[in-house]
Amino acid sequence: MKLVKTVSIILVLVLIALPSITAQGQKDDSDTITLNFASWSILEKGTQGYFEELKSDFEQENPGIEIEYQGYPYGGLKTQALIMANAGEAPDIIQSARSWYPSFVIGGYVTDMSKLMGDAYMDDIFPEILADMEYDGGIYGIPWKVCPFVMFYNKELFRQAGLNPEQPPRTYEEALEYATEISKLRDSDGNKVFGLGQTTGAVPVSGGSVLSMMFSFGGGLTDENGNVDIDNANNIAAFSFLAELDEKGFNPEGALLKDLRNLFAIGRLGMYFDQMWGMTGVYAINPDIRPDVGMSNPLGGNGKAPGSTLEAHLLLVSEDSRHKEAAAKFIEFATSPEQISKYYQITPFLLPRESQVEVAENYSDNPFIVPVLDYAETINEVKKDGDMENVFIELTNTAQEVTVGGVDPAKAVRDLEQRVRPLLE
Amino acid sequence: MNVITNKSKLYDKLFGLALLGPAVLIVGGFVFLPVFQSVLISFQDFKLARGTSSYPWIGLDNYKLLWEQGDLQHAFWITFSFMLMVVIIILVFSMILSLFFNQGKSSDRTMRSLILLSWGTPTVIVALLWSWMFQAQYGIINYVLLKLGLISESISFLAHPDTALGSVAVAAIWRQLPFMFLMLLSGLQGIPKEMYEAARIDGVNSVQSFFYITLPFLRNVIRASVLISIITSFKQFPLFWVMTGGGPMRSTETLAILTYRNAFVNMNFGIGAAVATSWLAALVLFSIIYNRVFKEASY
Amino acid sequence: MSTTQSYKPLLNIVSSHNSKAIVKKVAIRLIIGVFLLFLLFPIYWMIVTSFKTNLEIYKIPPQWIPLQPTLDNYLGVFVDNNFLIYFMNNLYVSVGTTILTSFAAVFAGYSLSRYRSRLGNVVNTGLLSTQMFPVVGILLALYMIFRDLHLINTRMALVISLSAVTIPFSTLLIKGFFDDIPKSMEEAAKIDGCSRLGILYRIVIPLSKPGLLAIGVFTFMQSWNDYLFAITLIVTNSKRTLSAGISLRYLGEVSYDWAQVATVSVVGALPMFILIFIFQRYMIKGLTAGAVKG
Repeated sequence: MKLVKTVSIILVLVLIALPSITAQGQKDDSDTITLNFASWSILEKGTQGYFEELKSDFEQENPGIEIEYQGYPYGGLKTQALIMANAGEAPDIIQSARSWYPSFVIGGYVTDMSKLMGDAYMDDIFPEILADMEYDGGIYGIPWKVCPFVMFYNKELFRQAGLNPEQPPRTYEEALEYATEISKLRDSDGNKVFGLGQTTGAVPVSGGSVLSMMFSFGGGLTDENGNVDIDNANNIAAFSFLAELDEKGFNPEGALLKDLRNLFAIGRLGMYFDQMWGMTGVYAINPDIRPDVGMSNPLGGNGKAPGSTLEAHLLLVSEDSRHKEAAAKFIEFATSPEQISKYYQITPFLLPRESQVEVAENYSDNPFIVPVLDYAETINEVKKDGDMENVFIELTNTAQEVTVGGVDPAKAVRDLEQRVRPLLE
Repeated sequence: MNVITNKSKLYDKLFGLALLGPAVLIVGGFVFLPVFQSVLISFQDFKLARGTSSYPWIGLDNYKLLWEQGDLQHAFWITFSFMLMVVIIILVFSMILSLFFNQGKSSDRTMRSLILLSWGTPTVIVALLWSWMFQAQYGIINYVLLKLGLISESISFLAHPDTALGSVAVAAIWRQLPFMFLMLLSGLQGIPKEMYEAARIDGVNSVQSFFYITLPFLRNVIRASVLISIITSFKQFPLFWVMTGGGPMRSTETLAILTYRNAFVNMNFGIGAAVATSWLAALVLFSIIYNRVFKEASY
Repeated sequence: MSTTQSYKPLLNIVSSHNSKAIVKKVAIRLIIGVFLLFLLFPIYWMIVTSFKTNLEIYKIPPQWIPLQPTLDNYLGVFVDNNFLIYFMNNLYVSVGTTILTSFAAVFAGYSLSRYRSRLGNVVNTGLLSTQMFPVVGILLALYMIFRDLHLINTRMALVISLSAVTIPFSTLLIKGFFDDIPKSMEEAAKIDGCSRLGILYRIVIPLSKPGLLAIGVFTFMQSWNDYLFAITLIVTNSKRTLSAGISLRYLGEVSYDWAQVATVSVVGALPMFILIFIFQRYMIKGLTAGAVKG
């Protein structure tokens, strides 16, 4: 009985003592507005520091408004934010990726930013970017950073393989030749080095990357008139290329972007496709690799011009937020040329506003910007309505079919059209 | 006297009911009520969206859609094969282990505790740990298999449709095995030692005594613990969600994943509830049959 | 080897000293060894990984023993306030659930054991059947119930829902214990003028100590392990529990931090390991008396 008693007493004590310990963080000050900001970048080693600074800078300049970060991982943020919104606890500001932005818009969870931010602000955003954000006559997300999918390569591995580190491939066909050379290398411990990484993990952003590849082969989801058109030779060529990469063992199977970043960081991946800010993760693992990183614009394939989706981090404001004005103020602050210049220093990305370009140092001559300065030509439009997020997942599914699944690309593309058509229409 | 006993009996009854109160309230309100609601939701067009509060009744449309897309059958099949794989291996392995550790040396107590550690490891951590070890490029398992010459090239265990389900099963076996071990060990310790003594004197060898003494004595334990394992495997969510998320190519899309994905990723509660309801119906049916079969088998 | 322990089934097959027996013995030891390796190596690997730096853990061939063990990961975890928050919340929820479940289960188990009634039978069957209900399936309705009760994002919601799934098993287990206690003692106490609740408290509970500990440990373990409820019913960082916290905080998108994940895993699993070492005996006893019979 003694044991039971001791255990019960300990349990009760813990129960009484704990709330007072854990409740410390909660403040209740009715004069200040607290803005809840759901973000994944606050959790990333590479950007954490900048985000803390952004908060303190803003709070200093705007007494009476406090920013409270709610960190969610990139892959869980959408679900968590929607769960919160449905429970009546919507975060005021939501960081969103371009690939799942429509889910918030279609459910009516976020507010039209064009009214909130004012004309002067909206007119400052480059029209081609604005057009990509538009939905049903409204703009529901403010572009924070944007980029196409680009190719990163390891100059040191290029040198070791006898390739010119200043001359990255221009087409997928050339990239395959380069990859053949790089794949012959071994790292210092004798491990395999992968030639060319293309993400195929079952997450929306990988779907965006696969779609960019389809664009680069002249394919895509729709024809010029916007009608669904997937089962065509260009898309089959794109997936055949992917199948060949896998067959030759050049591409790590089923990899998420972060898997590729890891491998790239430890020098076991020669080239791979990523968003421009992917380097933040690479540098977080291995800061010493910085001088060896090279970047080129998206490749063309099968004699077609390079193409890509527009990738973006957006800032959204909840329809249910009680502090929309304050939220707008914060967004204006975070996207001000001054703040953006700081953010841009961590890893370069394309600036979505004219005034930002004017102020940013080291922009139009930056080797990480130059290859994509004419990005507007590479960007292909992606349908905004319909169930885009699940379309992206289906794309990764097809990518897996032709690689690990061993399905014939022509058949895989035909099945893809069948599955995706109802989602797009 | 009669009045008093009657009164006392009435009080007994009331006291008995009152004692049931808290459990009935909590379990009723937060298990049975949600189950009931789930069933209702499954017949509605229940997509969560801001400001929507009424959801039209659509009869069996959710079920029909799931059936026509083949998602439901597929998920049933995946869940079932996973369950079968896990339960059979666990039963065999833990039987061997528990027979060994039933030899009753007190020094084994530490060893027993060590065996139980994997069961104490939170499932999410189990998932992360095994993903880490199964990793294709720097995972320890690939390294060891390569060194032993069992494979010639590293395998992306969790990215390959042929190996993903099995890999998750390994993690599940790792976590669930100790529970079955514990159950069987408890069962073994309840067998009177004299039985074996008597059998030995009668010249029965140990294989025979396993089949004629041990197994019959363990019948109830095995029945209960296998049923628990089956149900646990059917319900398994965190391992799949963290390790594969249902992929690659849906090769690990179990009923739990299908439910969660529809309900909380796509915010379509109607479809999610339809999956959950079919699943529940199947489990109830299954356990009725299971119990009947094993009860009858004993006579 | 001891020939006296001849009740050893199967494994000690023949105790004579011929070579066949030795081969068998070695083979059995080998099989057990492989099992133990399978069960214990992952835990070793998790602990070792937590003492490595982020670049070291990607090394292949791997370092089986860290050459220069670092404590940075542990410092990092404890300097970062978040882990402490998750850990404490988990403790709070698990303790709350254990207390609530124990009370409800002891009462209900006692009632089912001693005050048998038709309603009791229904409750018994009902409790048994809940074991089959998939948590994922009830989650969506549960989410809406808590939303209507304005309990979303409270630890109370976690305690209640976890209790709801742990009470059935605990009740049936403790009922098994109560069934084993002879009624005569209670009758004697009754004649001595002990109240009904008094009998439960003074006679029955002290006699079922191992059962109480068993349901306490099982409930605590199950609550500590919770992931699904936490990722759905809790939405802010300050109230998040361990499993949800680990999966939502330490698995970055831009990169992995496996060393840190291993570290939080070690610290997160430690309470369970301690519990197992202390209470292993009761867990076996608990299962013998309760679950096995039911």
